[in-house]
Amino acid sequence: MTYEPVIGLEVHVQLGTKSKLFCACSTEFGLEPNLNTCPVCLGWPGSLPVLNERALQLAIKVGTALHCEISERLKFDRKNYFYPDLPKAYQISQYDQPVNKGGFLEIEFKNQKGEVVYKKIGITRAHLEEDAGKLLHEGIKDGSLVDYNRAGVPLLEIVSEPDLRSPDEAYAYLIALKAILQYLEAGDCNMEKGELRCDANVSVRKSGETKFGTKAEIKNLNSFRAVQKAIQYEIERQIDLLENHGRVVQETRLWNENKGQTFLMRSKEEAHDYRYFPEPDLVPFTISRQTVEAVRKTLPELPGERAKRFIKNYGLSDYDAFVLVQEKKLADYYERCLAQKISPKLASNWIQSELLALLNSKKISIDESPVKPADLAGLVALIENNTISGKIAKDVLPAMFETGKSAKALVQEKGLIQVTDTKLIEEAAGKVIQANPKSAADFRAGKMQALGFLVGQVMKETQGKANPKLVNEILRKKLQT
Amino acid sequence: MNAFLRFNPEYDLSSQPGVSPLFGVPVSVKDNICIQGKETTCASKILKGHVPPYDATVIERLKSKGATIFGQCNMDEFAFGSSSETSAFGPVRNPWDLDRVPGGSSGGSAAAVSADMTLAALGSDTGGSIRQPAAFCGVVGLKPTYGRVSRFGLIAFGSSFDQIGPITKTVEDAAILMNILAGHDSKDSTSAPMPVPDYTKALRRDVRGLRIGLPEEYFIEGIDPEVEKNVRAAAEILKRLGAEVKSVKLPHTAYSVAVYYIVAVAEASSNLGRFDGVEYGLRIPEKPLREMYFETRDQGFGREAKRRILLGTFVLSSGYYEAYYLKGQKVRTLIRDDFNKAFKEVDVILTPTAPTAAFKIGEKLNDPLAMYLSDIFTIPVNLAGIPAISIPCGFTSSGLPVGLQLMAKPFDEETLFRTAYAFEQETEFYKKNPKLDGEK
Repeated sequence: MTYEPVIGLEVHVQLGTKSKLFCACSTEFGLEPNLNTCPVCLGWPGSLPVLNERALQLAIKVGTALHCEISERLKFDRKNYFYPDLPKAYQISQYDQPVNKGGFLEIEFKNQKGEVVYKKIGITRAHLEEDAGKLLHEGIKDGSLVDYNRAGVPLLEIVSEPDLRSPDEAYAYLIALKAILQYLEAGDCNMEKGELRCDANVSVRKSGETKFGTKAEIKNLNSFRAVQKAIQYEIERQIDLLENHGRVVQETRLWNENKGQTFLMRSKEEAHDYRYFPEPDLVPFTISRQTVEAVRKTLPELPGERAKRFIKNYGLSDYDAFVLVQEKKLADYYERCLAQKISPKLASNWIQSELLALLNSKKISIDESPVKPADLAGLVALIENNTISGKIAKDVLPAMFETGKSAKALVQEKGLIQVTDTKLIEEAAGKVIQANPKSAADFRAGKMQALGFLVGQVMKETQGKANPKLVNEILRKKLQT
Repeated sequence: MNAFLRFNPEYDLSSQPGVSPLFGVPVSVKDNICIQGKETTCASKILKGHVPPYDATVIERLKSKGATIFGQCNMDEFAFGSSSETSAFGPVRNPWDLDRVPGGSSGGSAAAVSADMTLAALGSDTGGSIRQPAAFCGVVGLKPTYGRVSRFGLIAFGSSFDQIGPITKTVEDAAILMNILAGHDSKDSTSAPMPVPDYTKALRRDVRGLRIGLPEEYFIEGIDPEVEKNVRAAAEILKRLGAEVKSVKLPHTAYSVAVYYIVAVAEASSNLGRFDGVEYGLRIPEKPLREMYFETRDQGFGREAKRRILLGTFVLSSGYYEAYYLKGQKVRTLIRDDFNKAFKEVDVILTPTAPTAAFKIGEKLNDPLAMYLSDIFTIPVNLAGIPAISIPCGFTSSGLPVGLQLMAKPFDEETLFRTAYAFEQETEFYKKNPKLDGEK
């Protein structure tokens, strides 16, 4: 029996506003507990909310980029439940009239055959709501403490249709969503700071079945990889149940990263009745079409469009373009390199292979790279005009990284300029042939591998500075005569 | 009388004679309006010791005009009641008869003004809580249009109903206070960004040509004949002064109390969720968390508060929401439409403020339905969000004050002041004071 997984994601994104959703408190992260609070976000008796206009604009911006219909009426609702991190015992959210509904997000991923495929994932809704505070348990005897700095921070909850069919698709969805949010400058989406949170709804059904199976909601997913792993685990758990005459129960489960398993958090019967009703403290108002149009006009080039432009204008492959655009800062870096007249493909290769590897190993983000775009472009230019070989360049880049010097300066300093002087190479080739008569004989006898060895020896003789292409040609000529 | 919960013995030193319009004027406030640095409890055990860190907008405005915030007035717990008996700090008594209630929930405010213990007071009105006690205590009470006065700093009961308003001895005092209280507040999204007229200019003692409507639905069985007699006589007086009096229809009136006790308690149940022992007020330290919630709320809230929280929670519950809350909101729209239609024909609607004069302490405390019905004539005004004023219009044979209610179109407080002033100056009921101890 084969099964098809059905997955929907609920993503909470912190909108990048300076102040909270309903008061003027700062949204700055990492401050002393309860510093960013006032009577409004603490829910003190008598306080009232006033909507942050910037948050609404950002919500509309995201909705527009996700091809959503923007509601004509802005209405908030109260979601009532008791928990110490929720100061008013209700969260101001949007229930039946979300600001954005009915859009889609195009994702790109590799299918099982390894081909790059595109798919549109439906967006059910994306609504505004306020965040709760945070409970602190560690190191506290007899109880917990609450930090309300986060209470009232604006969130956009983006709910997908159950259109995802594999953990890889879910991963691709998150990557694509994060990219769009960053392009819109709608939020920083740093998962470690809780600026992006994701819950997954997972069910399985027999292949060919059109009805959905019973779903489980998975929470506590702290990274995109965790989302992928938890969904994979959950699919297997559910199939295992069905295969062994069991049945899947609707429930909420928690992902345990260390154990690599999901565990029951609460059953359907224990689910809250949130008693939603319209928030009387915020009068509904009309979102004018002019406002929506004004926001639409501010939309920047989005990752999908940018990738298409990279493919068309720079001749990049689908995959290379995709990797570059998914992080806005990386794509910006790339385009800044192209301010100099260098090969776009070569620049792309050097960024994606060498530079990213260096950055990753040092855990530095692209915008903090000690090698600036102009410097990287300088390095690529030196390779292109045969001043240095690619091999030498691989040594030059880490040195640039360490010292912050330009490629040109380092190449001159260390005398790394590529030897294109045929006389010098001929001398070295002659020496090598003399010193390795057996290899020379092998080559002449038709053993082509021997040439590789001899080329290597010539490179060694010239401290790697010889142009490998020239070495090859000269060796062949000498050996064949 | 137990009208005050606390006094403030200091007066504001920044207040200056000749400069501050309310210099030296002691204004008292209902104990659900936040005063920075002063305990504010809503007459509830659950907020005992609670000290707000900020001033309500109305307090800021009063202080800016030099008023002395004098007393903090007793009230029904969280404004849940029509008799000021549900206070956790003991019932308020009516200065006209100490065995009777002063009305509620702003009973302390009305009693204090009536007994000349303060020059003026603020109340809050969700279903009649300013007007009904004003009627029972023989003083003036105005419930402004919803959105006319900022609610910032008013501890919420029914957020879509609540309005702060003045309780005073005379109509002129109410107009003077409204000049200060009314106006847009950027801290309250439900406050109206509309200009505030000079209400004292409306005090013209001229009602000629004014169209006054008497709704049939307000002169029903169960109304005290003495109340009806005084109110009908009041209509005759206004007619004699040149107003045109006619009958109007408000056909959905009968549903008002039912709708109110669905929608207002729904909002109340949510508004009172925050009193959970976590941040402020009472906490019964129990472990685990659920027990802390249960014990704190069980010991902190009185019976009527619990009743309304339960009712409100029920009508919002999954499976009941459509049948109660949603239906209630639809009927609320019908009631609002009734008024819209009526105000095409008349400028003012005249009714009794309450079906009876002040009742005995304890008389209705254990009969919630009878208690709720004492707001039957005031509730529709809150459902519609329109302004209304209660002014004295006579006395029963046993000497208890009777109140006359005047209603007007949204933001037409001026017409209320004009009508009320003309009637008051003609009749001078306000000159009669309750006889207090030693005066007998």
